[in-house]
Amino acid sequence: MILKPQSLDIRIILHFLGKIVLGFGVMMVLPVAISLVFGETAPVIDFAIGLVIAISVGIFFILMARLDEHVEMSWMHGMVVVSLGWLVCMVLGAVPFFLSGHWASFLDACFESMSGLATTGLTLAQDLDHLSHAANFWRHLLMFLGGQGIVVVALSFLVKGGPGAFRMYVGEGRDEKILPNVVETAKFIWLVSLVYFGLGTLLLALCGYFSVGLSLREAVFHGACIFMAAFDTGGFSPQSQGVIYYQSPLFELCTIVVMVWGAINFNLHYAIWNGKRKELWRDLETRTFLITLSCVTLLAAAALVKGRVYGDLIGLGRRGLYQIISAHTTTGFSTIYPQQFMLEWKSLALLGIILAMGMGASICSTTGGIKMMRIGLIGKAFREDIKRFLISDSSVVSTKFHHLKDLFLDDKMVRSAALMTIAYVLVYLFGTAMACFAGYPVLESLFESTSAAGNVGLSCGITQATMPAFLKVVYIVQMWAGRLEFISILVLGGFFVSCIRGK
Amino acid sequence: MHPGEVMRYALLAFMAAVLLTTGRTACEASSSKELIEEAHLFDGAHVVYAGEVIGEVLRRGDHAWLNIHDGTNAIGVWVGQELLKDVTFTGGYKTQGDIVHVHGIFHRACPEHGGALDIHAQDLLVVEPGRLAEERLDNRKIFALLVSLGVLVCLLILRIFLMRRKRS
Repeated sequence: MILKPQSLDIRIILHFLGKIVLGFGVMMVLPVAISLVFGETAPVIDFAIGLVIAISVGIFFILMARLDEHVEMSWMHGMVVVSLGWLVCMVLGAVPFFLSGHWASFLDACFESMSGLATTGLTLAQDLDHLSHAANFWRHLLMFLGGQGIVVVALSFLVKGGPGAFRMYVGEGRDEKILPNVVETAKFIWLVSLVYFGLGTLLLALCGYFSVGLSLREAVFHGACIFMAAFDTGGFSPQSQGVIYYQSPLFELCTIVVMVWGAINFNLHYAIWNGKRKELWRDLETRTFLITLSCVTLLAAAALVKGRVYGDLIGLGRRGLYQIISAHTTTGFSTIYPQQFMLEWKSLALLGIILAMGMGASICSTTGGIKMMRIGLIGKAFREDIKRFLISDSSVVSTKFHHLKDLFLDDKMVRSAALMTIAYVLVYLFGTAMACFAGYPVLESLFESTSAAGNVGLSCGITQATMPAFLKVVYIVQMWAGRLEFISILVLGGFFVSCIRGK
Repeated sequence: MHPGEVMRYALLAFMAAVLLTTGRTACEASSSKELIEEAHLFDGAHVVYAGEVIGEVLRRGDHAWLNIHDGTNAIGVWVGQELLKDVTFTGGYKTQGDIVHVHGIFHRACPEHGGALDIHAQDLLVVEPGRLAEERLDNRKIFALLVSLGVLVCLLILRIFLMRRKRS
């Protein structure tokens, strides 16, 4: 029997939803500050409206909840709060975009907002090169907030620790705590991110100023934006050409360093911060990443060399390998135009890049896709099964692997990894089917769907303001589901069903 | 005759000459869509490309990169410093960039620039100077801001009222 949620359940959800929205809304102060720095007047109004609406919605939710005593959240509450929170933040984050006039409809603005929050990087912005610095900064800031997690923002400042906080943290697609207390974990994630933000912005700004030829002010602005997009494996860029705009191999190299750094598990960052550098090389995720990266690079390189797509090794590196690393870290920066994927890349190279996008990088990082830990576990399970056939029946086979500590492979781990892998593949195929239904060829559809659900952001040209509205909604759902890793969204679905059919 | 007009006629004469001497060049400016989608056809050919200079002029020694947007895509154009003297405005939030016509050699995968799709300019003409863009405040937005501020103040008053009632 399905139980109908009680009024207390709804009040708990509204209360924490309100807090998340408040935390999110306050962040709109930053683009207002950017407007003032760059002397832009109209965006101040746009963001002031967005800020006031977001804070009003947050306070309204808290008022509606009338939850004065401290109540602990259940798993259901945590999951529903997170999945709804992301939707509400998507809508509120879209308000300044829509008001700027650079998005054709509010749906397009919502698409951009979700693409930013989910660190995807697909864009429907029009005339991006004339967009205000404030709105451009907001696009990138959304990636920074979404990458670390908007619940992590709320946990850091507005929510007390405890089991309820942990349930929201897990609901946001993170499997592992770094520190024993989840609020301390959230604060650590922010500390790491802000320190790296300072260093990364400095690196990219220096590169932008000396190597690219940007003016100092623009170099700092672009450095900050590109850092947020690269470290959070997002893929937005301040200019419509993306990374092509900079026309600099050194700048591209710097973005590769930041992308790969951002694709590493936060637990490994913690280990590195504590001087345990060897952890990086011993970890199953890092090793799996190196193996899969080598495989997809070989696939793509073989096809590109055979097809003589790029004349020399430098061209192959800057236009071929760059795309592969960008895809595998699920960043989505590109040094070629979207149409070139289908027109110039050969099928095998496309297969390589689609595989890279689908696999993603580390768990407990800002990347999307299936993730290396799951691929690594499934690989280990295959190896163990083969070993079983090769040795005598009486022998006991056990497989050890290293992820932060030495662990033994068990069936529960493999089952969980396999289920998530199947879920991702089904979502990739669902988006492919929807795009085929809209009339796009199957390979393009698979490419774009994998990019959306894997939170990558590379496009082969389907994602445009002119694409059908239903496909925009499909991609929004894919980005949302891919980022939150399905569970919280399925719980939200169950919650609505129980509201309607429960007794 | 105005110097700008002299330049314009010179460019027209030049384009006509190019048309007569090369079979693969269109007299009309090629669009970025054509250049990207039919890059193999245009590779190594003289092309004329027109659009707005966007971003910043990215100077590299005696050359610079201009990113020129034709309304669909922007393409990087590798330009000698001597051709840049007339470029004054680049497009951004507060500016409309110069509209330029570029004549140059198109590369699908430029060997000099790491396989980039680019144009090496041989001639550049500013056909429409850029300008500062006027920022206009929309009264409806100011009204919407005032209304939403009013709602926020009401909600805050209600919150304070409820908290006081609870305390008492």
